[in-house]
Amino acid sequence: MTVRVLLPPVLRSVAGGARGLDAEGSSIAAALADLARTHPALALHFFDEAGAIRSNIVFLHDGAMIRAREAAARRLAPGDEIVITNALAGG
Amino acid sequence: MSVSLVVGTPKGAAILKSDDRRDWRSEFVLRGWPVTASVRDDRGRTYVAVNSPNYGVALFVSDDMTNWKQLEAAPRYRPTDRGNPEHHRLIAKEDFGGLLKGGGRFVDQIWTLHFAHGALYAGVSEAGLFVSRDRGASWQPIDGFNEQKGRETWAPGFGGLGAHTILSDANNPNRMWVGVSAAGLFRSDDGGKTWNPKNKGVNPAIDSAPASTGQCVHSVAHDPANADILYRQEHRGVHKSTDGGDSWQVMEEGLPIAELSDGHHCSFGFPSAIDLPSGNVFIVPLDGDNFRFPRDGQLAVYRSRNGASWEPLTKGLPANCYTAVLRGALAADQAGGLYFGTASGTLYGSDDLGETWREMASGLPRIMSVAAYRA
Repeated sequence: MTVRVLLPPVLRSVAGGARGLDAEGSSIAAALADLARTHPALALHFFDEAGAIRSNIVFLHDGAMIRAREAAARRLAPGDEIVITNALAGG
Repeated sequence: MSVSLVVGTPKGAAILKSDDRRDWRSEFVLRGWPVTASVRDDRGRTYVAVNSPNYGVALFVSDDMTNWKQLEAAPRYRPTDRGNPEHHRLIAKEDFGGLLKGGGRFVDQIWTLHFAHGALYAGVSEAGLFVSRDRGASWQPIDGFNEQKGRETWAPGFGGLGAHTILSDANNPNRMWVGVSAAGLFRSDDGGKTWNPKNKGVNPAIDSAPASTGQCVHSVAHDPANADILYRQEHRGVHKSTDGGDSWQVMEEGLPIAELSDGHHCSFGFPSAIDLPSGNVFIVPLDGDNFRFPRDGQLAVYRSRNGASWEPLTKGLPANCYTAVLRGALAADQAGGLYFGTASGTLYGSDDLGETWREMASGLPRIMSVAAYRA
């Protein structure tokens, strides 16, 4: 199943300037793992030392905000768009 | 003479290039990445360390200072390594997702990069030392340093528990030094297998800190070809060693002496650098750990030409200047050129060993690191 993952601006330089990338996966976590395989330089930014999705990453999917710890359970449909963003600080 | 600078800020790096050290071309790269350190290897590849509280630590490389590519590997602790609770407390403000609650040890910043004897080294926080022998394609922890006995006594400085200084001996590949805030300086004489504190004669950062590993070293400068003569900017003053760090003597003649917050009287500052051809040593004193700006607002670099005393160099530097120069923000191009950046984003340069200075750039974000490369 192919989905579209939109990268934050700071990570686009790691992916050749691409705003978004296609990935295979039926969950957000699976799509991220696929991107880490096809674009290995992104893996450092997605996963921490223990292999978990970095805890400050937040996903936007289908109108909902999904925390990193919820990414494995968040199911995707073909053609879905997932936005990678991060916890926000400041005012 | 052509020189390139990498000026690291929390929002990217300014790359400045000049063929005559007068007219500089500038571009801003790695936008959005805090740029904390840089080094060049013996084949001309430049490495730049970046970190993000959200997306972690990484390294970018360039062979032409124009095109940058991120490496696929970076220094990382093992999932089983346990972290320092006090360091966690200091960096927790950026841990929105609660990662630190697990108690692990993480590389949250590369403080320094160093190249010596064919190997690339990274000093990181939480304090540790990593090495790459394949130009950054893979990194290995130096367990002799990272897991050394006594680590449990190390206490972080205000900026966390960071290994920010790496020095090596050009004539002895087995000898290295690593500086940790606030645990002091350590030396290995067996290629990194074992390490010993080298802080004798240096006051601990606070009187209650351990006598052997409670020193808040801020930076250390030396000539790798004459490696055992070391100049050390400490929280509590400037010191010199002529025996590889086995012993230290205060070297503060000519420096502004301030009263620290604990009543101790000494000089205070962060960066140090050496011009290898002349042997001149440079520091940027601040008016104590309370104020952390130049005394009376006169920005000044201090130089030692004789290895015993210091003289202020202010020509071309501003008065009414109430900013700081951070630990990594002073560099020498090893041909009489000095460059430093301020915490308020102004870059200054000199091409005559600090006799005269010129503003090279302003309006940059807080300058965290400066590296200078010939050609």
